[in-house]
Formats: sequence, structure tokens, C-alpha cells
Amino acid sequence: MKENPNKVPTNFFENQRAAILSEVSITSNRRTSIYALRNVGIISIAASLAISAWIFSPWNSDDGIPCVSYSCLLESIELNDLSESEKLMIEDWQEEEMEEEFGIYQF
Amino acid sequence: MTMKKESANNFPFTGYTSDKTFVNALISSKNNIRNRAFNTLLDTLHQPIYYHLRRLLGNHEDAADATQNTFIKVHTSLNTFRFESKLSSWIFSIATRQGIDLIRKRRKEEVAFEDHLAYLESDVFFDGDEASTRLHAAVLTLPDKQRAVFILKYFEGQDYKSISECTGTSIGALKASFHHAKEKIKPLLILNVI
Repeated sequence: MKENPNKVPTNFFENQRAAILSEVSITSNRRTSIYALRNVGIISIAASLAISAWIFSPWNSDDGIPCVSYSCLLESIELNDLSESEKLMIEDWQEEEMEEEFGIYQF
Repeated sequence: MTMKKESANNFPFTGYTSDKTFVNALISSKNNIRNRAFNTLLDTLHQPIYYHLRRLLGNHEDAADATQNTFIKVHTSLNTFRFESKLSSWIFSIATRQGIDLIRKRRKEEVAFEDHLAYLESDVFFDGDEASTRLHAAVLTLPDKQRAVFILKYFEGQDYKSISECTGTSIGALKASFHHAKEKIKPLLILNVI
């Protein structure tokens, strides 16, 4: 190994070490914060997806039988939950549908 | 300047048994573990990296900047280290790249041997005899990659395998590069050339 003629200012290595360690510490803490925020985001999205899946799940019915067809969904509507005017309106629609169907057969 | 004396198990980073355990400590989320590991890294490689860059760049200010950038880069890139080479070789490769980037950024035109010589003779942070000053000035005239190879081999005594890991160049090409570098430097070391 050859003799080294390169010199440095007094305390150069000590001062630079302190600067490097300080920068490393700042970068690490920033990275830890970003990871923490990212984890919070992932957990929030996962929770939202889980709640949505539960609400819209066909297995989420009172009788425990999965409701996977349109007719099943219609049947699951409780007529008791409707007001009198809504019941009358539905009856009107049903009558109109019967008349239209009958009319078509007459032709 | 040599690397810190290697420990009994031949691992250069005192208190750690392998690159794997050392890197895990360096990227630990626990401040005390990470700081201890980074202090060990600086104990071992701070001065060797600085002097490597000092010889490559030829002045204290640039070497100081490149050294600091190297260790920051090491810290931010540790998760990309694939353990395909020794950690120390990987760090030297980052330092060399930092140095070469700086040479290319600073050097607009070719600087003559006599100008390097005059600069070193007036540099307060350079204290070499005439032969040593001529040698360092001659090295600064080499093309950047050839200069890096010559410094790693001649001044730092690294073997070709380590230099190959550091520069990503084949051992055959490194031997040729070192030979050409010596041939370019030789005539500049003769005192009556200028």
C-alpha cells in the first residue's frame, strides 16, 4: 500500500459522519411515516371492500337462503313496508300489464 | 488508507457475521439497531471511500461531496442490493459511479498533465513529494473508467475479482485496462519530461 499524500481539514471525517447520520435518520423516519400512511390506506380500502361485500351479498337475507335472481329479490320486498298509496299504485300497474297482455292476444 | 482490520471470521463489519445480517440491521426500522449498523459501516468504509474518490477526482471538495452522496445513496438503495457481490464491492461501485458522474459533469474539456501538477502543488490538502505529486497528476489524465481501475488496483490493492464486481467489467478487460493505464502514466513520471 502506497503512502497517502492526500490530507483533509481538521475534524472533517467526524463532521461528515454527523451529517451523514443525520441525513440517514431523517430519510428513515420519513420512510417509516410513508409506510405507516400506506398501511392505513390499505386497511381502509380493505375494510370498505369487506363492508360493501357484506351489504350486497346474496347470502345476506333474513331466511339464510341466498337470493341470486331478480324474481327472488322482488319477492323479498316486504309488502307490509309499503304505504297504502304505494300498494294502490302497484295494483294499478299490475292491472295495466294484464290489459296490455290481453290486448296483444286479441290481435 | 486500508480498510479496517477484518474480524476473526474474515467479515469486515465488526459485530456482524454476514452481509445478510448486516444489511438487515442497516434497514431496520428500529433507530438504535440501524444507527449502530450505520456507525459500523462508517467506521469501516468512510475513509476508504473518501480516499478512493479523492484520488479519482483530484480535490477535497468534490471528494467530500461524492462521499456524502455515496453513503446517502447506499442508505436509500439498500433494498435493491441482491447479495450477488460483497456489500463492500457494491458500495465501492456506487462510489465509483458517483465519482465518474462528477468527473463528466465538471470536465468540459481535457485538462493537461501540467495543469493537474500545478493544481496539486498548490493544494493545501495535498502533501506529497515530487514523485508522488507527479503520479497523482498523471492518474488524473487517464480516462475516467481507466482511472478508477488503476486507483482500485494500484493504490487500494484490490484484487481483480473485487474490481470486476465493483465496475461490472470482465477480469480480462480489467487487466488490459490496467496495463494501458500503466503505459500512459510511465512517461509522465520521468522528471525531465516537462
